[in-house]
Amino acid sequence: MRILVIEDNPKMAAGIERGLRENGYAVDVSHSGFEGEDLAASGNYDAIILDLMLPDRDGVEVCRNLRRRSIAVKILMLTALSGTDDKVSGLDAGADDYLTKPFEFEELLARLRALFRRGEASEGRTLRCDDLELDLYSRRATRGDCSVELSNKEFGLLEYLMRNQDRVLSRTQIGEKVWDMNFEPDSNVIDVYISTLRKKVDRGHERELIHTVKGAGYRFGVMS
Amino acid sequence: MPHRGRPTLRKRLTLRARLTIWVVSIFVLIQVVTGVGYWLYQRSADRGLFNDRLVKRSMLIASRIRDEYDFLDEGALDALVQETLDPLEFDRFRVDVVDGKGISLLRDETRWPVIGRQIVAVIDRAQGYALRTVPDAPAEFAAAEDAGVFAIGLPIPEIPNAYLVVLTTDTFYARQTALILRILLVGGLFGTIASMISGWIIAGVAVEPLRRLAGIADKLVPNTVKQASNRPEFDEVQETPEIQQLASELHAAKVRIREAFAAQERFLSNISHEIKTPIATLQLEAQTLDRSRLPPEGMEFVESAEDEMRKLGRLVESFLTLTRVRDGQGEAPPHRCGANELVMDSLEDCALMAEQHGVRLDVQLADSEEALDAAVAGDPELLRTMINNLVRNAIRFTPRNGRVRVLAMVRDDTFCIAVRDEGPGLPPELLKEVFDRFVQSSEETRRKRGHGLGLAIAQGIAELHGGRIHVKNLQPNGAEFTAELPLLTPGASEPD
Repeated sequence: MRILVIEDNPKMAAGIERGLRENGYAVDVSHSGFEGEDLAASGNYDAIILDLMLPDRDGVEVCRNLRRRSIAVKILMLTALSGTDDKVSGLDAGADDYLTKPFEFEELLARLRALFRRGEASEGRTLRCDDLELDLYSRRATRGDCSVELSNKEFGLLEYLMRNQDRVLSRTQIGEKVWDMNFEPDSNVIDVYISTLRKKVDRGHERELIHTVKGAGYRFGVMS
Repeated sequence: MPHRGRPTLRKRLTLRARLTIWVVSIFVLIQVVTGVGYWLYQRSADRGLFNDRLVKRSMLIASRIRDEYDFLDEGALDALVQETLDPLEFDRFRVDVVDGKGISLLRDETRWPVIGRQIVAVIDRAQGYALRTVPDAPAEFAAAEDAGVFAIGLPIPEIPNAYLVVLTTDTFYARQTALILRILLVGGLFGTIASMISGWIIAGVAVEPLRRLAGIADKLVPNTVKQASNRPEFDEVQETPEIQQLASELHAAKVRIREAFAAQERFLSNISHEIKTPIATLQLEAQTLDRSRLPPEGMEFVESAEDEMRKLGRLVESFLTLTRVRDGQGEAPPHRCGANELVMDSLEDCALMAEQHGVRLDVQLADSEEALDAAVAGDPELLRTMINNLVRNAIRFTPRNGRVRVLAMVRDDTFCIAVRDEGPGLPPELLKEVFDRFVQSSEETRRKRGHGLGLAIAQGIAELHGGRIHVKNLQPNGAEFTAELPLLTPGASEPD
């Protein structure tokens, strides 16, 4: 796993670099936005840790440019700002996750692990099933002609289901892959999210895509 | 916080009523002063007037008797008196001619001699005539306040020592006073009513510009700073010069307030970056330091430094959040936040901490049909912080291998998030003040955990969003914090 750290504060960058190396990642560091973007565009990285406040340009802009150039790399944004608008604009620009300074290094590692678990980003730009289409870069879903408004987690859940079409997925699997959490057996989180997703994706359409498998979990796909 | 007592009467009356009361009281005061003054003047002036008149009239009668009458009898005297004395001035009078012993020469009177004698005694010492008040006047005069008697010698050749005696009372003064009193009373009554009405009208006219100004101020000065940018423009104010001046000053004040808020937001944003970055760097360096090469005391130092750094980071974050909550009106317009989504996002943030503490997180989301679409309006970052603080608090108090339960549910128009821990519960004296800043249980203080701001911030955020957090102890142990947030009603215009 190779990670690019774009961070202008040399101490911060060095700290992240050292920590990641200790955890077995290969790390490159760039101290400026332009250099960072060029490095990222080379396609050699599995993930980029991107600081939002760079001396030469805005991190959001770097992120947006990479997505525009169809660079499908996992991007984790890092910032000292904690306002909602900063966060929204970061995620809208195509970042996969967002972490506010100061953070626990453990947290950074956990988020990276979660990003990698979400699947290979290099598989392609879109996922398709029947008339449902998922654009992984713009993070938009459409079914037929209608766009489907999904929250971050709903999108993650749908992405996981679509990547595992026609497979029965247990609640434990879904919990671990989508949330990186082990839910209690009687927790209703996954059922509630599936219900919400069903309402948004299946309701009003002829063919249902999300199916309940009694006693086992859920299955996604067109019923044969 | 200033003590808020019961409002005084003064403060409860409107400005208009107060102005009216002033006008009426000034009018009444003027009336009373005028009335009393006039009454006093009358009192002193009348005494002299009465004496003057009595002397003048009596002398006139005496001179007419001397000049016009050769023979005087009762009828002639009465006729003369009728002509000379004005009943308006003296409403009761008796005129007689007495001899030196005070015996009536013209009338047959029983009590007259007594008075007559007194009079004559007086006259002897006086020069020609005398004037005095009668000590025991006849009954018909006794009641009068000002009974007076006047005697003057008459040059009647047949009777030496003949005197003309005029005994009278003066009710002119009393009648005058009664009249004035009546005028003052009736006039005062009508005047007071009139002054009330006119005072009310005048006060209304005086207060009207203030009221209009208040309306203008309402339009000009926004309730929240965000509103300031899209309020109606100032030009539409068409008013008198005074009001326009005030209005433009209000407008200027508003602009200054807006600038101050903007400056504060900039400052906060800068400070966030300037303070948090070095803290983050230090924390990161301590966390990623290769400790295998450190001597044991070095390890200890790094660990404690890391710990303190973490605390400092959280404290700074809390202070910034607190400032944002306190100046919440300046915040961005509310976002639509999916209710269950909020809970899950927050729990993800807390998952690492729960793992480190060996505490399980048990979540039940709101699962009714309408709950799936349930949303609240607000700042998702702040709301997440609110739930985070409740959950982190619960994790801190739950023993290892324990469980923190998070229950989300939709109840009527409210989204409730209940967080239950398995800790010792709250001491009763803390139940009320647990949301105050820097309030911690003694246990917590002893173990130096937390900084005592988390729950205050959570409550502040809840209140900012029109909600509240309640706390209660559970049986047999544990505490439950329930945050209630008003739901965004479906169909209502959704915020951006």
